[in-house]
Amino acid sequence: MTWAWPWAWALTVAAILPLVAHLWSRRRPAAILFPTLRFLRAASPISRRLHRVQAWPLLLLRLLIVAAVCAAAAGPTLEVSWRQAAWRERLHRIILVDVGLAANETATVVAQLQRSASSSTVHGPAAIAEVLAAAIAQASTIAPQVRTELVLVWDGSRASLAAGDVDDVPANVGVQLVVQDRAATPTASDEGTLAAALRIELPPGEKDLEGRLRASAETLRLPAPAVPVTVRWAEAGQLPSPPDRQPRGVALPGVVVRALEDIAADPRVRDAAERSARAVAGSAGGTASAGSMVLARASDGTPLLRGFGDGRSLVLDFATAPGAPLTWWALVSAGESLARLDAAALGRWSASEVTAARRSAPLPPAASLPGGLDTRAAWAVVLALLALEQFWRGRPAGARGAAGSQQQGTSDVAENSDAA
Amino acid sequence: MSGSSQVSLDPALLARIADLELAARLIVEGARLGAHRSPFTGTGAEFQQMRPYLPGDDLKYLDWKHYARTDRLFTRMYRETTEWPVMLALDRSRSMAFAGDHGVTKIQTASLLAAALTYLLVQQGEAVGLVTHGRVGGDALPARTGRPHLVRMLGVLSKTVADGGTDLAGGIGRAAARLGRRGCLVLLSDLHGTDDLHAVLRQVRRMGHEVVLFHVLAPEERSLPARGDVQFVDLESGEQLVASTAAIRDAYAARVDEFIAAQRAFATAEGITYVDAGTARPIDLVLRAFMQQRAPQAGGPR
Repeated sequence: MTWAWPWAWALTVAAILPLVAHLWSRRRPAAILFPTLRFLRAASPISRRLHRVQAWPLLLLRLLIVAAVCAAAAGPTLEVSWRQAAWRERLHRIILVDVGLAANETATVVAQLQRSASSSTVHGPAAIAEVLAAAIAQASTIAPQVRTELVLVWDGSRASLAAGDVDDVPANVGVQLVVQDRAATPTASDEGTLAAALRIELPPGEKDLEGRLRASAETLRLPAPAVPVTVRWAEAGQLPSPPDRQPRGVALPGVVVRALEDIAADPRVRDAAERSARAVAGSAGGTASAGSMVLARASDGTPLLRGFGDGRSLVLDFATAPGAPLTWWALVSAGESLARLDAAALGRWSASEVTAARRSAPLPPAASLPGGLDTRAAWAVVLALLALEQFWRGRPAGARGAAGSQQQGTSDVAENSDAA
Repeated sequence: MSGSSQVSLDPALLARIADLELAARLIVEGARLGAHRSPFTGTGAEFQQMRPYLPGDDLKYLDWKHYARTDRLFTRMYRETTEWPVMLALDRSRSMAFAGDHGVTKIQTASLLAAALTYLLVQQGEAVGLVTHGRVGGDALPARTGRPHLVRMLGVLSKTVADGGTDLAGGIGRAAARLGRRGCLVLLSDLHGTDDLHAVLRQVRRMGHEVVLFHVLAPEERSLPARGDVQFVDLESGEQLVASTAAIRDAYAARVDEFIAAQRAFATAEGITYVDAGTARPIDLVLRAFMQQRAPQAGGPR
């Protein structure tokens, strides 16, 4: 037996109340005028029974009531093995709801999750990235005592939840991923186009070309890439020198490199380079450096297009004339490649990934039952005993007297045997 | 005497009869059914009967005329009259106020018994007197005969209440003193509260008086009723004692039986007539028992 508030047993001092009441309210003996006390005095001393408690059954019942009240106030919990096992099986769910999900479906899913758990905490709707750390901390705190599961309800996009985020969840916490549809599908116009992510640095005197380039880029209907694209032209046929080192903290070298490789391998760009080489005003030179890649060369090996990442964007340096075909096809190739890479990098979780990420919550190492689980039952016992006490007091005097006389007879026999 | 066919008088009914003489008459007539001889019969001035002479009879009672006529010896028997007065000593101590469950107090029973005896004796021409004794006060009437004295006696008896302390020795002494040379002392008492009772009675016997002892006890005194815890209050001293009747009942009954047996043994040893006059017993039966007990003693000359 476990007690939530063991100090409540101090209330057992109240047991003195019924004891005092029974001693106090004992029936006074009836007075009888008698001719002489000579034989009475000689026959027996004063009855010891008069100093005893009256109505033993009722007193015992009342003492039992006091004990039951103390037990109920102390918050009892009956510890048995099956109950402890069930207590360990109890599951606490921490539910994270992503923002922007369809409200009705999400509410239904969350309600089902809450119903199937013994207790739950809901975070959100909020961006998963914002509440995930707090939820993990909470789960880490609870998990040693209660089986805990972290449930992520989101649209399945990698942008909202990366695989690495799930890896941060402690091993003693279960994980469940629930994919829900977004409230509305975003359109391409909402996300912007390639033209919006295009930075054009034209040589002096070619300002009118920027407008044409942007208009042409708009017609491509490519989404705005995650990495902006900068296009530059060599001055006097000389490609500008790329920076010797990549700036620190740049997170896009992989994407840039893969985009550059795509552009370099794109036959359209090679074909355009051949056509554009004829328009080269001068000899294209320049030095290559670390991180930069020659993407197109003229037939004589002259670099016509070089690309690199400058930390903020994908830079395409052209040695051709600004209006040469290479410009156009390089932009097309770069836009398509970046869009493809974005789709690959920022795509949705596959069903197999979601399934693989799931793990059930392990049982806590030791879960001792907390006190107070049987408090209501204890109070029910108190009420039952009170009802029994009322019933006993309401019984006819004859029935009470019969029980009392039986007891009295027993005590008298005991007295006589004592006297003997 | 056919006592078994007799319908006994209810003591409670007798106690409710206001006229003590009527009650006494009922008692005496009930007791007399089948009786042929007065319990107080003895030698006296009034001739009663003759019987054949037996060796040892006083020759002065020999009927010489009858001997002359028939040549047979006969002794004349006389009824005892005023030479053999009876003095009733009625205990009016407060212990006599105890009433049992049937509601008749011991003083009522004793008074009825005394009235019946008075009625019987006066009817037989005996002189009867009365001493009611307690620690304070008390009435005394000398032994007289005749109906006016009977009325006076019954008047005193009807007014007697148990409100005094116990003074058995004093009462017996006063009654014996009023008897004169020889007589009969009838004591009606519960015999509670005296340690020198036996000495006094022995002294009375030494004076040549007959002694009859009516021991008046209520049934509840002999056997305690089962009433659980009871606070007993002494009627005379007011002393209180709390006891469980169930616990002490047997021991108490044994003590009381022992007390009664002692009184009876003393009476037998001293030639005292002991009559158990329980308040629950019909008084006519008590009287008849007394008369039966007395008959062998009263038959012969003295």
